[in-house]
Amino acid sequence: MRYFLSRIMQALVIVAGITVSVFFILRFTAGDPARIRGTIFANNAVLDTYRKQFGTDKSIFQQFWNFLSGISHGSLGDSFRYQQPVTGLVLPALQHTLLLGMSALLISVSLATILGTLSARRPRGFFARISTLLAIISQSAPLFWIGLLLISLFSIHLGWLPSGGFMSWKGLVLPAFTLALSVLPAEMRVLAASVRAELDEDYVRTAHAFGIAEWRIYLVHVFRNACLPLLTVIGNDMGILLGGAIVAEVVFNFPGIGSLALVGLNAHDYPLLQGVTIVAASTFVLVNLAVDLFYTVINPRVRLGALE
Amino acid sequence: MNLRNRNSSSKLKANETSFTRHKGLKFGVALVAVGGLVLTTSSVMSSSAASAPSGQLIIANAEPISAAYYDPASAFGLVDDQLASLVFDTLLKLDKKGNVSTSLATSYKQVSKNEVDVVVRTGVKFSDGSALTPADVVASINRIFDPKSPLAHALLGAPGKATASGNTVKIVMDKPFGPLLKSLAEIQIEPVADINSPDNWKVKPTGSGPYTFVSNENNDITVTANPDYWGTQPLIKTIILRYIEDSQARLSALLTGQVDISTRVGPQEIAAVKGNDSIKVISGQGPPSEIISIWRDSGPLKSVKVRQALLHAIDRDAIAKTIQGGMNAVPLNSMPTNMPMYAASSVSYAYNPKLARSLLKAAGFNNNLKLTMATSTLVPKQTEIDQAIVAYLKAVGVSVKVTQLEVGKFRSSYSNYDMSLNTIATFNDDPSFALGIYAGGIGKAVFGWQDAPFDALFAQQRDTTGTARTTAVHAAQNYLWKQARTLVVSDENWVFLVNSRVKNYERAPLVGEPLITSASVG
Repeated sequence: MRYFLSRIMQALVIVAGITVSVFFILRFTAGDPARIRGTIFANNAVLDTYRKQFGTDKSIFQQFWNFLSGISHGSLGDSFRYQQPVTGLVLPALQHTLLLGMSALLISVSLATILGTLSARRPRGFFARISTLLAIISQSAPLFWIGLLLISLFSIHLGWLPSGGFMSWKGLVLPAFTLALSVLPAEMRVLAASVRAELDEDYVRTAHAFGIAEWRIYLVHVFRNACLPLLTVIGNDMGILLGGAIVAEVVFNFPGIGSLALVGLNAHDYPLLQGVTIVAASTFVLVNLAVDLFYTVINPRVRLGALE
Repeated sequence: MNLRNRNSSSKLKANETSFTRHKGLKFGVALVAVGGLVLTTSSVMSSSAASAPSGQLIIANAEPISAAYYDPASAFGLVDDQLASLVFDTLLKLDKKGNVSTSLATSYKQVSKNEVDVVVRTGVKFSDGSALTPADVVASINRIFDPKSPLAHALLGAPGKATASGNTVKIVMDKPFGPLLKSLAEIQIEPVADINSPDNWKVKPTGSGPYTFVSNENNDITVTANPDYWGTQPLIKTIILRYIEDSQARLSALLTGQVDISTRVGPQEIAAVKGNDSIKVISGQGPPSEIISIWRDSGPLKSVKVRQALLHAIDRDAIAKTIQGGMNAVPLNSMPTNMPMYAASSVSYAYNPKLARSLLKAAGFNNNLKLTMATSTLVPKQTEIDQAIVAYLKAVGVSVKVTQLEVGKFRSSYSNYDMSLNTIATFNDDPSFALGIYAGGIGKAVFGWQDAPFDALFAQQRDTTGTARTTAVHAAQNYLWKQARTLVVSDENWVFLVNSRVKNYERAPLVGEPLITSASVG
């Protein structure tokens, strides 16, 4: 219990630190959002109207106080650009990004499991070579380039899938697959190595001696132990997926928080950028926390170690 | 034999026969009548169905709407204007060539140089069912006269007032105002109720135009044909304005048929669709626009000799041909070539590095002139154009310190650098707009320049109407040009890629899409 509480406190401190940093960094480094909003010929009266509307006519400490007061009421402020509450913009976008991320994770974990296990079983076999090739391509080629190639093949030439947007489940396939490729190599390697290590363990030899079916040995015994390192990698992969999602969302015009962040950046929309950062950081921290907790469920040794 | 009976029976038979024949005739007539009725009804229905709006058109834009705040008088991005032109009406309108005609006004009359009277159409309703009255027209125009309105300078940069007398609205300027008619083709007419309760614009725009706002979700703004529109029903039922940030993603969407039109494309996209019969390239149908390098009137750039030297040092034709792919014309004056009343100057500032060096020497600079430049990605191909300018200037002994800025920072940093590239699009197809950025407080803010002779020339063209105005516009643009006030790199030709299933797509020389009502999708 103490462990969980300390992890939660840690998470809160991290998110708070990120929030405060983003607030001040944006205001000290970026240009005047009123200037972005107005045209080149906007006079001072017009710019002042925008500054008043955005609240940027106040001192930075007043703005910070207003921001903190808003957070205590569950409000992240109103977007300069959209003139809507930031929570109303970020949460639906976050749902899309999480869907994209989870789909990508599902694809990558499934492929990593299959290919990693098969590679470990026959290190010089056909699937091992396929895995190596896939890993080299995924690690060498930039994400956006892979995405563009997939669009060219499956959307433009074959017409099987849409090139972008999210009108139906079909709009999820290409961006999820592209994103999956960014984390697949590491997962495959980790799983292959840990399966190989488990296969050399005595209990596997004993299970064979008892005549237990091979598929049962892999599924029930080997995989349960081999997946522990994979869980750690998945925790890290969530950060990569969240970051990579921005690129995928731009290439595929996917309406997630990455696209929203880009709009916020271009418009110097401080509340929107803060909202996206806070939500993204919180999500990442929570996911890692969940992975850590799940780890203790899967591996009782960790739980007992913590108790000791 | 009973003759009588025989007679009766034959008569009866005759009667029966004639009755049967009569009955048959009646039946036949009835059948023909019903058949005719059925045919007529179905042809009426099918012809009504043919004229009813149908289909969907998706327009892909590189930018989202400026704000989810739908007051047409406070926003002026591409998408804002697109939406406003579909949902709202204007008193007058421009055709493809920029000629003015009536729209919401049934007639207009230039009563004097200061006054235009318009007769407002009756029986028009806003999309919320309320009637459009002259009071709405008056309120919509008068708010643009307010100097605090973002569009005041752009459209009605001189004092005046609109009043109503019955169905006639009188727009009276304090002085003659040359751009008035063109500006009336851009000022959207809004309900007084929304003007008095601006929070309504946070929900949706309410206009009387050919389309009604439906939603703004997931990067799509959807409008649908207004069934109660006073004018000719548009042929397309639903229009979606879709934001796709990445140019490659926009192109892919166009090639896969996910969108029908891609707006303001560059030379790479045009090259990518070359030879593709399903995509049409629509060029030269945008508002007069230009790419200029804003030169601050400070330091070395205060000298007209230095400015003229720099213009001779930079090969604008080569930039237009190589970097811009030949898309853009190179003006020989201070306005875009497709601006009404544009006139090429006899002074060409032809590329001449030798002349540039001698002018710099005469100005007291001999390979020791240093300038600063901010660069970003605001303008299409900005990095390449800026690099070319730096290289040309280096060749004549001018060193330029370049600072790369993020777009937002760039837009708020003009006053800190000697040179910054920008793009200016005209909202109302009038020269006053393009010349206005050099005049008065705007000139001071943008260029750090305030010049009484030019302010007088600008005022003169603005305060003149009719044919005399052409002379005044020529004088103003020539003054700027001979002063070498700034570097006009080229026009900015708006090019659109349109799927061939879209028929009769035309544009007025405006930012919005007021002529899209005559387009159809096959």
